[in-house]
Amino acid sequence: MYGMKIDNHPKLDRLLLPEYSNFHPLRKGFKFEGDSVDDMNRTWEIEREADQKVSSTVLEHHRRDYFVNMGPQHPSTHGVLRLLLHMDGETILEIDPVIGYAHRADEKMGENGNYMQFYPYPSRVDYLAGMIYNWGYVGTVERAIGIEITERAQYIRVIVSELQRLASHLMWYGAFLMDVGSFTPFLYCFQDREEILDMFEMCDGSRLTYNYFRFGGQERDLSPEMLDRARKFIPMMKSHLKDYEKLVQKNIIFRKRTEGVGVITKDMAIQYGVTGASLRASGFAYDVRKSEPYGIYNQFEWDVPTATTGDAYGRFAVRVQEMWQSLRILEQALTRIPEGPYNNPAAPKRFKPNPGEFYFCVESPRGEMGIYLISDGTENPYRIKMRTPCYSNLQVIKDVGRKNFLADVVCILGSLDIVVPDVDR
Amino acid sequence: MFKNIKEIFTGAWSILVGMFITFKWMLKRPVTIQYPKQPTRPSPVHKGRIRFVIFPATGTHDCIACLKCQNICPSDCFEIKGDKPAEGGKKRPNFFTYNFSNCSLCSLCIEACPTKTLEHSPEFNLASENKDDYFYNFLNDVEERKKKVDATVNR
Ligand code: SF4
Ligand code: SF4
Repeated sequence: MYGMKIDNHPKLDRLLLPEYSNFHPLRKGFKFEGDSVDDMNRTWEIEREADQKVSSTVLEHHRRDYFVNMGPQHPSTHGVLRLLLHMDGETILEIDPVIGYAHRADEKMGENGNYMQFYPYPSRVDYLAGMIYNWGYVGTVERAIGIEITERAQYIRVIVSELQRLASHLMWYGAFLMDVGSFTPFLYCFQDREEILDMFEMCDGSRLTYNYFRFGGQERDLSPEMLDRARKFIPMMKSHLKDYEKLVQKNIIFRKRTEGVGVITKDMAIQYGVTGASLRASGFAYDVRKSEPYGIYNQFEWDVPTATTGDAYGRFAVRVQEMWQSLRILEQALTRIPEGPYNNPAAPKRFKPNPGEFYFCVESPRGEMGIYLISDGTENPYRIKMRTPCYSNLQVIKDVGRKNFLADVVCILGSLDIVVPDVDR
Repeated sequence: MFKNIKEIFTGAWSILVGMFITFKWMLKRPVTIQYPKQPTRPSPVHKGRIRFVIFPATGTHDCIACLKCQNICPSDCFEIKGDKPAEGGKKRPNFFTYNFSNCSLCSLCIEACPTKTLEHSPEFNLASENKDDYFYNFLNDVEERKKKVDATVNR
C-alpha cells in the first residue's frame, strides 16, 4: 500500500492490489481517481495470460498435484476468504490465503474525516466484536486528548465488552462445531447470543454494528431493565454452558476430530504474531487485559486460561474457559456498578489533539486489537492504523495447514476464529 | 484391542448423553417467535431510519437548516437547502433529502442537531426491492406523518 521494498522477502506481492498497479493508496499524495477502462482491461489480460501459463504447464507435465480454490463463497471459510490450496491427492502441499474480498479502506476513511466521523467504522471492522472495537478507537483518542472517564462509564464499558466477548465466542462455538460436522449446538448458541443482542438493543439500539462509546463516556446510560436482564442471564448461561460441555466436549467424534490437529508451536506463534486464544492455547498466558490492563480490568478477579497442546482442541477449551471467566467478571461488575454520570460533560465536541503518536490496545475475542494514531495537530487524524488480530492469526495457517488433509484445514480455520473483514479492513 | 472396545463404549455413552441433553431441551418452552403472525416490538431505543420529530407544541418539525447534520454525517446522507422566509424569522429548509441506503445509523446527526429535531424512527421492516424507496424527502414525509399521527408507527 505504501510501495515499500523489503530485502530478502520470500514472496513480495502487492497487498490487496493487482500486481501491475503503480499507485500507492495510503501515501498522502494519492489522488482518488478510478482506473481507466484501458488499464483495467490490460490488468485482466495479463492475469489471464498468467493463469493460462500455469494451467498449461500443469497439463503438459501430467503432474499429480493440482490446485483447488476454497472460497471465496465456501461456507466454511466464514466469509469471503479464498484459500488457494496446492494439493496432492487429499494432502495439502501449500496453502496460500488470498485476502481482500472484503476490503473497505477503513484506515483511509479515518484520514478523510474528523475524529468524530470515524466513530461508526471500528465496529464494522470486526462485526462480531463491535463494542470492543469501539472501545479500542475511543480509548486511543481519549489517550490522545487526555479525558477523564467517569466511574460508571468504566463499569458500563466492562459490562458491554464482556457481554460482547460472550456473544462472539458463542457465535464462534456454533460455527466451529458446524465446521466439524455437528449442527445442533449452533442453534443452542444462537439462542443465547440472541439474548445478548437483545440486551445490546436495549442499550445501544443496534443489534450488530454499534456506536455506543463516546469520548469520555457512553452514548446513553444502561437502563435498570437491561442490568436486571444481564443479572438473570448469568445463571442461565452457566447452566447452558454445562449442558454444552456434556454435549460437545465429551463427544468422542468431536475429540477425535480436533485433538492433535493443527498444532501451533510456541515458536510459530511468536514468529507470526499470533495473539488471543490461539496464542494462549500454545502455552502463553498473554492477555492484554492482564498484561497491559486498560479500563478497570485490574480491579476484578479472574484468571487467564491456557492450554499446552496448541491444537484445535486446546484452542476450543481455552475459549470455553474464557466464557466462564467473562461470566466471572460480569458477575463482579454487575454487583459493584456504581450510580453516577455515564458521560463526561467536559468532553469536547471538536478538538485538536497534540501532535504525536498514540497507541491503545484492547483484547478482542480474537486477540490483541490496537489502534495506532498519528495526530498532526489538526481536526483530522493524520493516520489511523489498525492492528487487527485476524490478519496475523490467519497467516499461521500456511505453516500449520501443510501436510494435513483437506477436511482438517476446515477444522483449523474454524479453530483460529477468523473474521474476514477484520483481515481485510 | 481392549482399548478399542473401551473407546467404542465411551463413544456410545457420550452420544447417549448428548441425546439425553437434546431430549431435555425438546421439552422446554420454545423461544422462537412466529414473527409475521406474532407481532414483535423493537426496544424503545431502537435505531431505525432518521426522521424529523413532530413537536406537539408546534405540530411540525423545528429544523433551521443549519447544515450541522450534513457536515457531521460520515456517509453524506443529507442534502439540505434552506432559505430565510420572506416574512422574516428563522431560516427554514425548503429541500431536505435523506438517503437511508448510505446511512450507518450512528446517531451523530441527532447529537449534532441544535434544535433536537432529528430522531430514529421505531420502524424496523424497511426492506424494499426498489432503491428509490430509501430516498426520503423529509418535508413530504413530515406532512404525511402529520396526517396519520395516531397511526401505529408513531410513538
Ligand atoms: S442539524 Fe437539525 S436544525 Fe440543523 S439542518 Fe440538520 S435537522 Fe435541521
Ligand atoms: S445516523 Fe449517522 S450516517 Fe445516518 S444520517 Fe445520521 S450522521 Fe449520517
